[in-house]
Amino acid sequence: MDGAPASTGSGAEKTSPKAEKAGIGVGGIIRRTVLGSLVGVNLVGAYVLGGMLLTERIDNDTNFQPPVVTEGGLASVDITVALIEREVDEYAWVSNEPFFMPGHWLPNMRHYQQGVVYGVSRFAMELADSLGRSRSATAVDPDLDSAAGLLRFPGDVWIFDFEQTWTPVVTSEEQYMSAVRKLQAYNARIASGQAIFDPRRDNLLTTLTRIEADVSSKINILSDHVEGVAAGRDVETQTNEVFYLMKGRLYAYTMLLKALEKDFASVIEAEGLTLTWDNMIASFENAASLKPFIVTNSAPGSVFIPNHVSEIGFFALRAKTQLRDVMTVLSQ
Amino acid sequence: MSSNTEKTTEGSGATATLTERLQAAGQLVQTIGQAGSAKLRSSISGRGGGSHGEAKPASDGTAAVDPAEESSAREGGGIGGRISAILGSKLMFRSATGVLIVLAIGQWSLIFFNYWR
Repeated sequence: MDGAPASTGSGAEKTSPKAEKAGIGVGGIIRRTVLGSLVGVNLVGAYVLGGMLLTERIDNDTNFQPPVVTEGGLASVDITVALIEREVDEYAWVSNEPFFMPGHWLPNMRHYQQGVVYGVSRFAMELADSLGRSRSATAVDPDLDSAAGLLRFPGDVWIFDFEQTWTPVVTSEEQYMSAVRKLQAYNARIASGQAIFDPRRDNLLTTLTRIEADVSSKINILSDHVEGVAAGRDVETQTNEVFYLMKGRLYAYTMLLKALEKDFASVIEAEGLTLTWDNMIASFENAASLKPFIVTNSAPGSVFIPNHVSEIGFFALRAKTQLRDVMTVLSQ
Repeated sequence: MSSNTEKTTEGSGATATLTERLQAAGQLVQTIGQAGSAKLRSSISGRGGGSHGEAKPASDGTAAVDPAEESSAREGGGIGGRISAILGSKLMFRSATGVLIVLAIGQWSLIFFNYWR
């Protein structure tokens, strides 16, 4: 009776198991396909969501201390090394993670980390150009020169960059960790008296000028964005990027200014800037500590929805004003 | 009785005609209770029945094999067979589908919300 149609009535005695099985198979395949697809979607969702929860760290702890302090070294180099190691090695560096990794779905953390590394990269450049030299009497320190270049490497280079080559490439993390080793080498030589650090007043002024220029630039971007969204020119979706890039930089500068207070203690004390310096750091801390659950950028003056871009811009402007006060004293 | 109507009950090794098996299963369903839908009774007997297909009462007082569940049950005994039998029922399929859809919507909503915020 093989091949006979399946019967489910009382005359099931004549049912062919083969035909019956074939008849059921269609429904079974559909059910299993539907269930399998749903299980797959849920498993992928659980992986992404769980990974996001485990990965996301937007660490703006302004009391953060370097885990390793170089005896006789520079506090500013120690904090630069510690910040890079923390963001790149201890936490996940999410800027270069492809779409199938949870970090790709964390744009706020990505922009924050990029802001932090950008801030310290500018300081590394200043170290190489001014702080690590005795004016024009000495050459650029090779470790600082390398570190400054490595920290300018784009943050979104993953192990594969198929637009360039089919072979593995050096990742952003590896470049940044190379910079860390160069900075550590420089600080070790400072500690042993084999490298130069020139804590002069004009050097401090040059460093602050570079920080002030970057903060001013970013404030202009914030201002343009607020006005652009209000006028309908810019899209609201860029608000998070603008906000967290600024926050990351301000956090990096906060930590660097705290460390520079130690490295330039003699200059700051001699100029009577201790109180002004501390107030300036407090303003930077206020700006870097803003952490809204949802970043919004409504029209300025809105009753119900805040404008976080304007808020961080306000604190940044205040910090910049105090920075200029310090610079004015140093330039006299 | 022709050989087509004879089936071997897996696991026990006993041989019974399909009619006898169906009658026994039908009695089992009637014993469980008259109240409730035939689908519910079928589901209950399927979970406890183990490796063979379950029966449900037919309009003439006899019982008919649910082909979907018999197919599932034939695929293997033990936990695998039971899970297969449970998932094979329409009620369980719809329940599982509903739960999975709700879970998927919840998870991906959270992912996109976090991405957007």
